[in-house]
Amino acid sequence: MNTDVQGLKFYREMLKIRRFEERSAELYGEMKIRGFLHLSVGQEAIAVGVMPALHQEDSVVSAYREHGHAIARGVPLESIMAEMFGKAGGCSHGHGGSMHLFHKPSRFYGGSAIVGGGLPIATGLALAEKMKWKETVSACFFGEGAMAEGVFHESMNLAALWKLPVLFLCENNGYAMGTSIDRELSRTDLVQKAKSYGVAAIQVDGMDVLSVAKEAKQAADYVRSGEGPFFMEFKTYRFRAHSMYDPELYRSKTEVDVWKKRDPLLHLEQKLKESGVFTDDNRIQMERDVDSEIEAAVQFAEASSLEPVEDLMKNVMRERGRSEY
Amino acid sequence: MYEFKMPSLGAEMESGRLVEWKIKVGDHVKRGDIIAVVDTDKAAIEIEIWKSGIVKELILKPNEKVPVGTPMARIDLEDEVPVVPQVTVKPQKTLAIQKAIALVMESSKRQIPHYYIARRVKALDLQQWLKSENASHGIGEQILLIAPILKAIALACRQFPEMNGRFQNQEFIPSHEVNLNVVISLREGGLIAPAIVNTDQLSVQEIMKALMSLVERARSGSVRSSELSEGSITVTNLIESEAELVFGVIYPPQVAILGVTRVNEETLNLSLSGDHRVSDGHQASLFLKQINQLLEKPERL
Amino acid sequence: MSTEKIRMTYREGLRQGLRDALRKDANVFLMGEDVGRYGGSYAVSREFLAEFGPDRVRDTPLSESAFVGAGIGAALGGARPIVEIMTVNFSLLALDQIINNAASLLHMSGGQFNVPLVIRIGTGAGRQLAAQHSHSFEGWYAHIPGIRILAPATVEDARGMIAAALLEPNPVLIFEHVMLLSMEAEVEERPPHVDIDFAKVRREGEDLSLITYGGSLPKALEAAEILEKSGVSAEVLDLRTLRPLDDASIQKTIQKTGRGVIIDEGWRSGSLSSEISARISEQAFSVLKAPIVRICTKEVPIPYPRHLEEAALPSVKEIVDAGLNLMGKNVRI
Repeated sequence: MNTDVQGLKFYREMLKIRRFEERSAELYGEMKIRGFLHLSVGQEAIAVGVMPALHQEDSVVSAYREHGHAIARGVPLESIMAEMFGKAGGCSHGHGGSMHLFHKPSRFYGGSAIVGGGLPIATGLALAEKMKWKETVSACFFGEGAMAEGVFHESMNLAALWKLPVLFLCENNGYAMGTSIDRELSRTDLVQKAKSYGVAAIQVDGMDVLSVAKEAKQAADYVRSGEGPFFMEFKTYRFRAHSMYDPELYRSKTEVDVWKKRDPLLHLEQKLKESGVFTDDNRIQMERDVDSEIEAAVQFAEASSLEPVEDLMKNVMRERGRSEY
Repeated sequence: MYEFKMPSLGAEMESGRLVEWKIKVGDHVKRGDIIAVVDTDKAAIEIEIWKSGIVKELILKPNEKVPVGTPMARIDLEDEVPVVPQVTVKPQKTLAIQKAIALVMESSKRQIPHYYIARRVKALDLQQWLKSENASHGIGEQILLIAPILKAIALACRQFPEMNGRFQNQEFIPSHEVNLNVVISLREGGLIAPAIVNTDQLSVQEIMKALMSLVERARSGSVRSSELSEGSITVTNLIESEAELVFGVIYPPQVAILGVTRVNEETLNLSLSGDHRVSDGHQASLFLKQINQLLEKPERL
Repeated sequence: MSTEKIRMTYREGLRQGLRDALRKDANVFLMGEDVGRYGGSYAVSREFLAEFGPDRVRDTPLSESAFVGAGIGAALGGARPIVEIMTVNFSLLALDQIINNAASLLHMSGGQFNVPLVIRIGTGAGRQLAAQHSHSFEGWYAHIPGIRILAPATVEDARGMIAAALLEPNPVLIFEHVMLLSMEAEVEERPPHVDIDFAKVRREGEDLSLITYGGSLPKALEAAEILEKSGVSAEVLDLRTLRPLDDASIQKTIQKTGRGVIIDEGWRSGSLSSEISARISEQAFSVLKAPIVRICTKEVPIPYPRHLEEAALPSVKEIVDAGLNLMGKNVRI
């Protein structure tokens, strides 16, 4: 694809995630959305850059800061909003909320709120695919905080040992909740850690969607060709607080401002303007379009019904003889 | 005028105390600006605004503690909230339909061993024929591309009984009639697939009329239930979408569903999901070939 | 159906059940620590590697969290994994995956993702393996909605529960009591279908009900024999499925005898025996002729020396004494 065309597409997608999450924050303040709400503002380039490298039959496993991943993967916007409203129209029928977005048609396996909990699931999905001789990729998003969990090391080891098609996607935003990486990990060279398991690994600028896309494509191709797992570290930054109720005592305003200068949207906007394919008017129009799309999603969520209480016990266990597997 | 209210930042936050305003009356604020610091049980938190405009009034004074949802300030909005395209959301109905579809589709996928096959169809002659036909018809009588295609499918069904019938009680019974179910998407979401009875015996013009009537009635909710059950094969028309192929889920007890999509101006795709208990890929390929041949001579339809 | 009888051990029953499952469905595979070359730490999967190959009999690293999680992922991905966790104490390392993922996914995803995973776990004390290798956590697991818990206590169940578990679209945990492995019994040559929905009366009786499962079943049956000699007719109910509990069978036996002794190798406080006792008092209070008696493991980390280990675990004597006492035969317990 022509880079400019691709760039415009990426810009729109990142903008959609940004505005969607900002709208979610607003709705949280209005108590429409409850529970925990973790926003990925600042990290949009990773979700948007990685997804084009994945095919429909690939699987995606994510953690709890996953709105961007779900949107970029194509989970319908209105079903994500309705999920956060806890409504029946939600992608998990309102049972999961912000942290547990699931969508079978997109092979989007959530949505795990236990740090590192999705890693072995992705490894197992890859195992099943490999045993069926399928050339698919099992992609797993997690933060650098997960790399202090034992299950990260167990999963890396298993994936490497069995040469499983797992694409490990580490979004290194520098903070495990409020603990900075240098206060958490004895060695902060994440690529080196992955390589110690014999897993191919690279570090990518997670604020530049075009390099994310380029590198992710290569990495996914590598995994798809049966070479084994691949680890990508995306250097990025979360512009907003960890969750809604976080006074951000652990970092300085200056640090946030420095990173905001590298805003992935701003970065791409400048690039597109230099190429002459994008103007402020285009941007305003795009914002309008995206906002209407989001407002439609909010309307859908508002209007969607609540799951009936009689259905509370449904889906605790699936009845026998009704497995699609 | 927009009222800025004390936001709720967590389930445990019941009220907030204004520590300080970061704005004053007459200031221009824009989306994302920090406008106040609010003290909660947990900590002092910076509060941002989600709209742009001019500050008209600061209702709350520093040190005042109010429950969440209490108006704090009034803002004259500079830009109205974006206009939402008029989507009529009727989720209750939508959900009911989606649920019904989900059930049928699920049982179909469980019970029917689907196989899939597709072929291209050159549509240049067809387009030209349609153009000349439509030139002689009045505005209300324009024929859409799908109508002659439905006719061709219906005619082909007569020659391929294994595509046109019902599989019930472990037995396939070919249908004497060719009743094409046509998938119609409803505005509020969901699908419905009523049948055009005896499609093979109607003229292209009549098929068009029947189709328009079905669409109208489907969308106003007045399709008869018999129209849903008497179909013998289903057609899903995605010519106007950008999709290149569609492999539908067979609508039981039928044994085939045929998708029509457009590759480019001159080429269409026919894609078929068939029931492997009744037919196979070879028969299906001949069936599609037959439709193609019929469409090559649209004037004979 | 052939009615030929053959003798086999519980271990051979497990082996045959697993082998049949692997032969029947190419989607089924076994993974766990030392299930392959070693032949399974309890020799259950001996010779499987040669028959099914390393793809379907997978030795895993010592990574319970990862290989149980991978089992969940593989199940989501359409495979039919059977994961072996060597002993129940190691399952604690995979508890997060079992509870937060396997048991929760279906509900949390609004019914989209079921996890058809079978996990086999060795459980129980009695082999002088001391405090970290002698747990009975099946009652704990039975606390969790979203999973099914099986406890085969006979050779026939050991053989047949694998196939039954594989018919479940949900996660199933099978707790195999390590003290039963060498137990021998006569079974039909061709395995009959094992119905895991119901508890089973293993011995009919009139005066009182011994309600138990797993490794305590042989003790209960032995106690019933002894009681018989004292003129006490004990019914023995084998629960078989610990979640969901077969309430009806429990109530039925209590309705019949009016007296209940629950034998549970778990620690008493907050145990499965507590749950059963509570259900009986909720549903059959009026027919009770005496308070429910519970015989559980003493609340102590299981000690190494044989005499202390024996003292800690439910014993035949305790069951007999409880039975006599309930019948007013003047025995102090």
